[in-house]
Amino acid sequence: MVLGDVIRVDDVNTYAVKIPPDAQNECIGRLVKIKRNNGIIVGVIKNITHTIREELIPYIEPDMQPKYAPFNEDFRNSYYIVHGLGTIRSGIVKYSIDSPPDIGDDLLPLSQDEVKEFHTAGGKPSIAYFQANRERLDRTVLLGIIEQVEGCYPECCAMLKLVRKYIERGT
Amino acid sequence: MIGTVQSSGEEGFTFISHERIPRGVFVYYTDTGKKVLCRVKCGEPLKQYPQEFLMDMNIGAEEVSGFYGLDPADFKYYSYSADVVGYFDAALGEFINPRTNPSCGTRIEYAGQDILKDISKAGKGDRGSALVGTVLGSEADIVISVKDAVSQHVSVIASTGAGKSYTVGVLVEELLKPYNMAPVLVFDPHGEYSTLAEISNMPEFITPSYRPRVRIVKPDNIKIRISDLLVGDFISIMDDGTMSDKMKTLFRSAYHNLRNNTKKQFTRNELRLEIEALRDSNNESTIEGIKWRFGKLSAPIFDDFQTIPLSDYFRVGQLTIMDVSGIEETYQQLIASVMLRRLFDAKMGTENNKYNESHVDKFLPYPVFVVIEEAHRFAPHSGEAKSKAILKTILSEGRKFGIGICLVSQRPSKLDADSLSQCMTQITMRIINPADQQQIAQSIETASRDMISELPSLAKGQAIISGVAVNTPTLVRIRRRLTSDLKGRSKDAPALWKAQREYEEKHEKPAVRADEEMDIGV
Repeated sequence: MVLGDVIRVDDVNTYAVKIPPDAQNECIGRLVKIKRNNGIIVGVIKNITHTIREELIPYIEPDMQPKYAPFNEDFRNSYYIVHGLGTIRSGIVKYSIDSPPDIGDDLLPLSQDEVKEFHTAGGKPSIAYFQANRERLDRTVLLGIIEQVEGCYPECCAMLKLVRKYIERGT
Repeated sequence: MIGTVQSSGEEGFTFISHERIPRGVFVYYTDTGKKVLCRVKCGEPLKQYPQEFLMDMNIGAEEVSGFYGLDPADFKYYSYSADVVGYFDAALGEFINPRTNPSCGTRIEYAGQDILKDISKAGKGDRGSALVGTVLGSEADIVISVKDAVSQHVSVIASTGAGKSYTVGVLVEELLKPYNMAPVLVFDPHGEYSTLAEISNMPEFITPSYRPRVRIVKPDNIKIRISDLLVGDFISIMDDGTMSDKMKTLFRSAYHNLRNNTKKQFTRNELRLEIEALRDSNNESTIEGIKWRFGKLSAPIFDDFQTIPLSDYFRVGQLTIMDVSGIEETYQQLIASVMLRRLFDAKMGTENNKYNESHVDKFLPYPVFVVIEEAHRFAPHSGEAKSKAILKTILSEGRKFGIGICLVSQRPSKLDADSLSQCMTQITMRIINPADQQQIAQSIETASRDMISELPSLAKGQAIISGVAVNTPTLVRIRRRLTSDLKGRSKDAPALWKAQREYEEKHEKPAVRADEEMDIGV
């Protein structure tokens, strides 16, 4: 089930995804994936926007507007802002991204098995990307991730409980 | 390299290290080719685990941190604060503080024996040296200067069980070694130093030309000569609170008459006759009252002729232990007072050429060292003791005449602050009582805030040695005593109770049961 397609890449970790009118609505904190070559980029929906950037219109040729200002043309839809967390490539999990997705790549929900696979490093449960992304992701997003991992990976619930407390304290 | 300087300021500098370094340990950095000695004040982890990660008793903080993405290795670094002691100037023989702190990034190393040896003011085994232990956490010897320690007095302060008497034993052993041969007297209110008698037979103390002597003076053999007492001593012995002013005045007259008009030495009978000579029709009852109280001077400790024989007690290479255990405390003070007064007079007279070889028992042409155990009894902080005045006099003036005092106490707060402050070498061991710590802070110039805070955590046998006998205050592990220390040890009460019970069971007589035929039913 496609949640949308990438329409803009702000940096190696931040992408805008256009949500089709018939797609189901997801909440922030939902773990998602973008297929890339022989692997996937794992990310999380960190925000949902409805921006119409009218100020750009006078500077863009009308025939170029669908390409460079999709928000302006397609104001009926919302856009996910996806934050890339890492990759799974040939069964190897990395909590860093060296190559961003392409425009037009599909955004898909991460399956339960993939959630478990992404949160296993060196044979042990891991959410090691939390520390690196702590400043860039809101508390709600992080708590959303924890909730999903708890559902797929009951073995690490005790540790997730401690991490949840730490995130909730917000320091 | 064990660390790198992070920052510096008025309070010293901080450095980061992955090693766990105890407080008080010496480190150094190199500045323009000079090795600058520094002392670690305190340390704390550079990073702390989030408190939530410590809340599950079944999961280690390291495990949660790794799971969360924190590198557990980051939590193994420590930030230490340290003080600069200085670099050793061989010409001046002391540490010179460079008055600068190391710059950020300077490498910090553990101070080795090549640097730590400079803390000692004397070389091991040299004439005038006393090997008292090693720098805590290292094998470097701490050798104090006997010349400085003995001439400017020593204090040994520790709470009970911290190793105070043991340390005094070590000091005494060193003073009796062939390279010192000191005349030492231990004033021993508990009779716990008798094991030091082993010194005279131990090969460590004996050379072809020297063998130390140990003389233990038992309580029964300690006598105070009547004529050695001052008028105030007499009155304090006789006065049980009922002696009137008239009695005191008459007694003073009798005493001074005897002193001034007849001779320096007198007997009880001569004093009694002098009192009797003052009798007239107006003071019959007063004289009778004085004579009745004068009876207190018939206690066995007082003698008309025998006294504390200074020349026998203070001999080069001799340890004299005055065992005053079992003697009433006021009499102990009196004995100390008389002994110290006579010693001060003898030393002052000898130094001032008033006494020579012809003055038997008064000519002492060499420095002496006196250890006063339970010093708070003899120079109390509050209240009076007969020995306090002379002890204070010797502590302030004794240096000129060659009298060294070692004050030993477990309650510095009860010890006279002036007396304690005169001891320029301090061996301070575990002290827990805050009042005692405060007294040390007030009385000992070299006692820094860090040193005071260190006192409660010192283990048995660990001491801070500071003052003139060492080049910088140092945490020291006191060396093992050569002589045994059985007397000073705490008794193993449960073991002794068990032994006693077993003895009683073994020697128990069967209970005598009443004959049934004799039972008349009462």
